[in-house]
Amino acid sequence: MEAEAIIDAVLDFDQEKTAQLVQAQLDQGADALAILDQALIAAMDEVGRKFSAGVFFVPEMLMAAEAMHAGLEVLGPHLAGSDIKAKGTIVIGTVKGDNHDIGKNLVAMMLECAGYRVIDLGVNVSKGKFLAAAKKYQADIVALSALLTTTMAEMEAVVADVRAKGGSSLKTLVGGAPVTASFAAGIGADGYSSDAAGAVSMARSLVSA
Amino acid sequence: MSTHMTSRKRFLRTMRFDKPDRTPYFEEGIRKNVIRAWRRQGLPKNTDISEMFPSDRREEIEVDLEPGPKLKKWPASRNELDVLKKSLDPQDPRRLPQKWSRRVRDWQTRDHMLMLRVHRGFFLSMGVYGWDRFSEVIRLLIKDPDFVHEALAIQGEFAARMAERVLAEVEVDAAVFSEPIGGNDRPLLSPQMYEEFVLASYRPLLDVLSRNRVETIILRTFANTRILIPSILKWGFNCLWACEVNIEAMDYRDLRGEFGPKLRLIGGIDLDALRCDKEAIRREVEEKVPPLLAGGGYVPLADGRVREDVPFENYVYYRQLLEKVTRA
Repeated sequence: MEAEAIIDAVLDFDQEKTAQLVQAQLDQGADALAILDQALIAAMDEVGRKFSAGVFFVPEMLMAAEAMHAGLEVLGPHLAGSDIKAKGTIVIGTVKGDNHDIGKNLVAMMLECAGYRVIDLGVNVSKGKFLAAAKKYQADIVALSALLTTTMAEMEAVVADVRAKGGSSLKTLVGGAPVTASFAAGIGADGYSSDAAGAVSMARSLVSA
Repeated sequence: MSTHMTSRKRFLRTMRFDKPDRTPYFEEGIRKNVIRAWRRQGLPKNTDISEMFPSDRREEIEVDLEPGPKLKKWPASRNELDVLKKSLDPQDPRRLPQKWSRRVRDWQTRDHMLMLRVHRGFFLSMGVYGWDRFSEVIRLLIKDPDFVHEALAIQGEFAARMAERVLAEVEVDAAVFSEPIGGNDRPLLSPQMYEEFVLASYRPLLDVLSRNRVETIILRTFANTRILIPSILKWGFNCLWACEVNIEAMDYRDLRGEFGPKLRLIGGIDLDALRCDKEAIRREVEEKVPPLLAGGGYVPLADGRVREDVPFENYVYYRQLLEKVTRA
């Protein structure tokens, strides 16, 4: 399976070419799961590395994700019925009192591209809804976003709720403009990320932990 | 040297790296709900907080830079740009603040600082208020850059004509560009993209400001925009007002060390310290403010709006300490 060309097409933000190359690989008999893991997700790993290195910024990250999705759409029917399992399930939302969604959506996008099942609860999400969704979807992580210093306190309440009632395997991941690593540690969150690419790395370490 | 400068003169001297009679203290516009909370924490009933501590009145002229009438749909292609252009008429009298003539007359003899807000920044001027339009605009930056150039040029030209209109009648002490473009670790756009699209669109406006001898050109940013600073200096900005920052990444002492007097600074005091305790406030103010003042061109200020989560006693301690340190 030739992953290199697909990876290059994703990094060039070329949706059409990514889709064509994925189809070509399928036509040649390549395994759909292998294309997903070794080409599409691998491409997004490279996007994450470039983002962390300051080569890619948000526009590049978003366009690469769209190219990846174009490939995924071609792959979709071939994955149905396969043994594909999401790498984990993540419930994500912006906490109660906060309607900002851009950061949350960027994180959700990157997590999906990395192979996670993402349940996006939207904005202004109450404490109870996070836990209810985590239980319903058997989530591995509850990811919280806040953009206001006044709504950061709600994060603490959600983390406490999850710790008290979510079971030891349910982790919490927090982020957002006013959120810092020390704040995250102070409220007992299991992980913190300052950006979407970092959220993927953190999710990987939390789910495997 | 006069011992009683006006707030206006004090600010101008500070920004010129000249010697003011004292450090300017910007009013912080503390909201009513904070005052109510502070009254419960000991702020005396009939005491006006702005009279408890010295402050310098600062006014910002806010012209209406929004499309009018409001756009039902923001343009996403070049053949839709006419709608945007028609909605940005710089001659519309409703775009100036109310009681304009009277205010212009009053400003002629003012003692306080007067700043002109000239641009709302890249995202707001592209109609980004949420995810859908954000992702659309981000996509257009890559897929249809000519459209973005043209849309920003329309906004830049409109902002320039509005500034011209104001400056024909009133002399201002600074111009303020708002630029909410920072993320936690870096701006959302690369410096290259920011220069190519955004700063280039500010050219007509920067030219108007230069022709009208507006000395201090402020970029008011949010979160981490450090890597944009070389670009903004190149394009004619000379003052940074960074709000709600990751304070380690945007430590003003480091910025002054790196950029020197080319970059005037407003802000730089971590609001988080005011939320903590007196020791945190003491460290923040005593370690940061004196070296910045020594270099000149600096107005100390908390890097965000003081809210209810700042205890009253912390605020009192902060203001008293600031006064002590700046008078030393």
